[in-house]
Parts: sequence; C-alpha cells; structure tokens
Amino acid sequence: MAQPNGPDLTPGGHVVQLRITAADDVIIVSARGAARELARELGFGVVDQTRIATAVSEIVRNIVQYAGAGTVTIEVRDEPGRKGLVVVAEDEGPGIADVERALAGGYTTGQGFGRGIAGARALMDEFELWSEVGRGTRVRMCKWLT
Amino acid sequence: MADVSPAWTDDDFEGLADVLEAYRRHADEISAEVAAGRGAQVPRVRGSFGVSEFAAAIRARDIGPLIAAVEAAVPELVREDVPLEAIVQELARLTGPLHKSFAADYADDPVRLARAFRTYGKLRDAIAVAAATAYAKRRVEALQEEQRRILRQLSTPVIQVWEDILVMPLIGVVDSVRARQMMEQLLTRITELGSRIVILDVTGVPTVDTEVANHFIRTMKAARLVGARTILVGISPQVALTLVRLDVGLEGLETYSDLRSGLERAFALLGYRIDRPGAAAS
Amino acid sequence: MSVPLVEIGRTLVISLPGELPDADVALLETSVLERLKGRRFTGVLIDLTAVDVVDSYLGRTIRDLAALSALMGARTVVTGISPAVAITLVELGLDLPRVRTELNLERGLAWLSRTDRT
Repeated sequence: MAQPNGPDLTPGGHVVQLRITAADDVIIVSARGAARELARELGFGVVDQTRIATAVSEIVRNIVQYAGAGTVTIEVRDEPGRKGLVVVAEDEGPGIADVERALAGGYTTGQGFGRGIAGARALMDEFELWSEVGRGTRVRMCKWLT
Repeated sequence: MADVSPAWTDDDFEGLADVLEAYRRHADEISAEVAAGRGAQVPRVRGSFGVSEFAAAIRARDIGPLIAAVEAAVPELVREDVPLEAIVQELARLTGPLHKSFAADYADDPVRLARAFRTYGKLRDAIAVAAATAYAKRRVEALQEEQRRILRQLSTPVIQVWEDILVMPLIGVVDSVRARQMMEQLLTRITELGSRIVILDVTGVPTVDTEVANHFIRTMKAARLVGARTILVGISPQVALTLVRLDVGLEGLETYSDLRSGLERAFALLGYRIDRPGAAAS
Repeated sequence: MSVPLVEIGRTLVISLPGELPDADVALLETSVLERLKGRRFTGVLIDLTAVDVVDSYLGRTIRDLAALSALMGARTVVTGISPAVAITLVELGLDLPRVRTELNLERGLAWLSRTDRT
C-alpha cells in the first residue's frame, strides 16, 4: 500500500533564516516583516499574522538584548492535515537562570523582557523554551492554521 | 477499538506465501486483467499492494504492518473524494485473476489449493474491514469539522441596532475557538462602523468555563482599545459565579439583567432620550 | 527615522510610523518630554493608525508616554489601534487600563476638545 510520506519541509523552499547581531536592531523589524509575509502566504488571517509578527518581535529582541547574536528560523509547514508556521530562535548567550519565572512573565529587568517571553507564549499555539546558564537559549514556537 | 479480527496461524502464513508465489508468477496477466476490469471511467485507486510489504508480512508472520499501511493510506483517498465502493471494488477485481492463478499452479495439490483460496479470502476481508473502518472514521471527522466551522459562522452575528450601538447575541455553548472568532468579528465591525457601545448578550449561554469567561473579559478590553464600551447583559447565575471567581479586574465592566435594560443604558450614555409624545398623559 | 511631533492648538500629536526600530522607540520618551517642557500642552494624542505591530516593548513605551504626559498636566488619548493590534495587546497583558482610547484621530481630538473646557 502507498505510505504517506513524513512531513515534507522542502517544497517551495519556505524557510527563512535570519542571522542576528546586537549591532543591528533593525533586524527586529525585518524578522517580524518576514514572519508576517510567510504567515500571510500560508493563509493566516490578519489577527494571526499580527500575533505571529509580535511573537517573533519578542524573541528576536530577546536575542539582540541579552545574547548579542543568534539565529531565527521561520519555517512554513504544509503537511497533510495541518498547516502552520514554526519559528526557532537560538543563541549562545548567557542563558536564563529561572525559566519558569521567565515563562510566567516574572522578569522585569531590561527593556520589555519578561513580558516578552511570556507574551510570545500567549500569542502562539505551542511554545517551548530550553535554556542553560552560560550555554544559551533555544525557543521553538508554532502557530497552526485552524 | 477491540481487535475482533481472527488470529493468523502458521498454516495461514504458509497459504499466504503460496498466494504471493502465484501472484509473482502471473503478475503480468493479473495486472492486465485487473486493468481491463477497471475500465476507463473508474478512477484509479492509488496505493495498490506493495509486493515487498506483503512478503515482509509473511516473513514476520504478522499482518499488522500491512493493515496499518492500509489504514494510513485511507485519509488521502478520503481527501481525494474516492468513494468507498471504488476502494472495495478495486480489491474485488483482484480476486478473479488471482483465483485463476491458484487453479493453474496448485491444480495437482487440492489441500494447497484450498488453503490458498481460504487465506487469500481471509486477507482480503481483513484489508476490506480495515479500509472501511478507517474510511468511515475519517469521513465522520471531516464532517464534524465542517459542521463546527459552519456553526461557528452562523452563531456569532453582530447586529447594528442603532447608530453607534452594536449587539452581539451569543447562543449555545461557547468554546475557546468560537470565542476567539467572536472577538475578531466584533472588533472588525466596531472599527468599520465606528460603534461606541457594544452590548454582549449572553442570555443564550447556559454556562461558561474559566477559559471562555477570560475571553469575554479580553473581548471587552480589546473593544475598549478601539474606542468602544462594552455592556454585558443576560448573565445567568452560573455565568456570574464563574466571572466572580475569575481573578480578573471586573471594574469598568457594566452588566445589566437583560437586553432591554442594556439598550436603555446605551441610549442614556449616548445622550438619547426615549420619548413617546402623547403617551405620557395616560 | 524619527517620530513626527505635530502641534494642533494646545495639543501635541505623536504619530507613530509603521515600522519603528528600537533605537527610535528609545528616543521617543526624551523627545516628547523635551517638547512638553518647552510649551504648556493641555492634550497629548498618540496615534497608532500606521502601526500594525505593537510588541511588549513598544506597548510599554506607549503606556509610559501616556503616564508621562498625564504627570505633565496634559490629558492623554491613544487613537487608531487596529483590531489585530488591540487583540495582541490584550493577549500580551498590555491593555492600557489607565489610558483613554478612541477609535481614530478625529475622535481623539474631539474628546480632547471636550475635556479641554472642563
């Protein structure tokens, strides 16, 4: 019998990867613009496009301000049965000491951080955060088209 | 689901091995006959037997993976609108040519011939049951999804009852998806029409959970950001209880018992006076 | 890119452009404060009509700007929030509870002129 294939990630080349450096805060504007554009192409409505662009803005700023450098990958998932956007942000910065607190929005240091992580989580359907002090932080978040 | 399919014995697998052998020896004739039986008008059902999977199942003495492969292929067929009959017929078309090949190869060994007939029938039944079950399940799921979508659209009307006043009556069970949609629809209407007051009528909502009550609060907050004030009307005691237990600021939330009182309040806020000349004397 | 600050009568109108890099957001508070120091404004209007994303950083800045102008004795109103921005602000927990909001610039100015007289 025909076997359904696993998630097909390549067609259309719908993966955008951005390199982030601290010197360049315009990257936040570019990243959320790219995220909105991909979301729109995939068929998300204006409100979800805005949620995604806002969440991307939060996590990219997090890298700019706390890690200095990192990458953000925005990937279009067009699988049988579901479509969505997967965003992965990675850095090798100082890491977050208390992940639980960051997710709850407890950190208030810096400019907008704290709310930022918790905010991104509230805006997306799935949100995962790994962090190790001295090693870096990785955020993976998704929004699915319903 | 409970597994009610008959067990497969070693003898059965011996039989299946014979079936596969016969199929391999006569593959060309069988394919030609199946194609002829299919005719031009019938859509080709994709995902026919993979001989290697079949062989693997015999070697492993387990038809489980073969059945799983059948089930996995079904959603795609449903999506392409291939009718169940076409799938079953495709399976049935194989029977005649296969039986002929058994007769040709095992004519001198009646026991073996009978076993080939029997095990092939057993396999075909198992595949047909798996395909039909998976098909029905997928169809029901697709139907339910469609129903939910239509219901959501039907059940969240936004009515402009007066200049600057919108009424959004909610009826039935509000889930979180619908609550989200309701918020978007309402905000869009407020900005399109420039409405200043929104009356959220929850008379038709028997109960809400914390999640949905939170959506109500968020809707009111978002409406305020686009310049509209929300009046909540028709709260049932149960809904009131949920709202009170929620640890969210209810300050600035205006509530009235019914739509009529809410509307009166809206008119008063906008500076309208309801007047019936000549009726005052009575 | 800097943010244009326009005076209409005794009202200071701050029109935020569509895409604002963090560096410009950071300068916003000081430049508004400078203007408020120089002249006595009775109203401050922050217009977000062109803005299609407000994240927590910009959201906090808007909230602080409003609080700042209120402390400087000016009535403050935020206008032109789109439905999508309104929803994300609420979901971020930044629903500006102590700030007056109006649908658009016109209504914002109308509200300011009403409160002006009192």
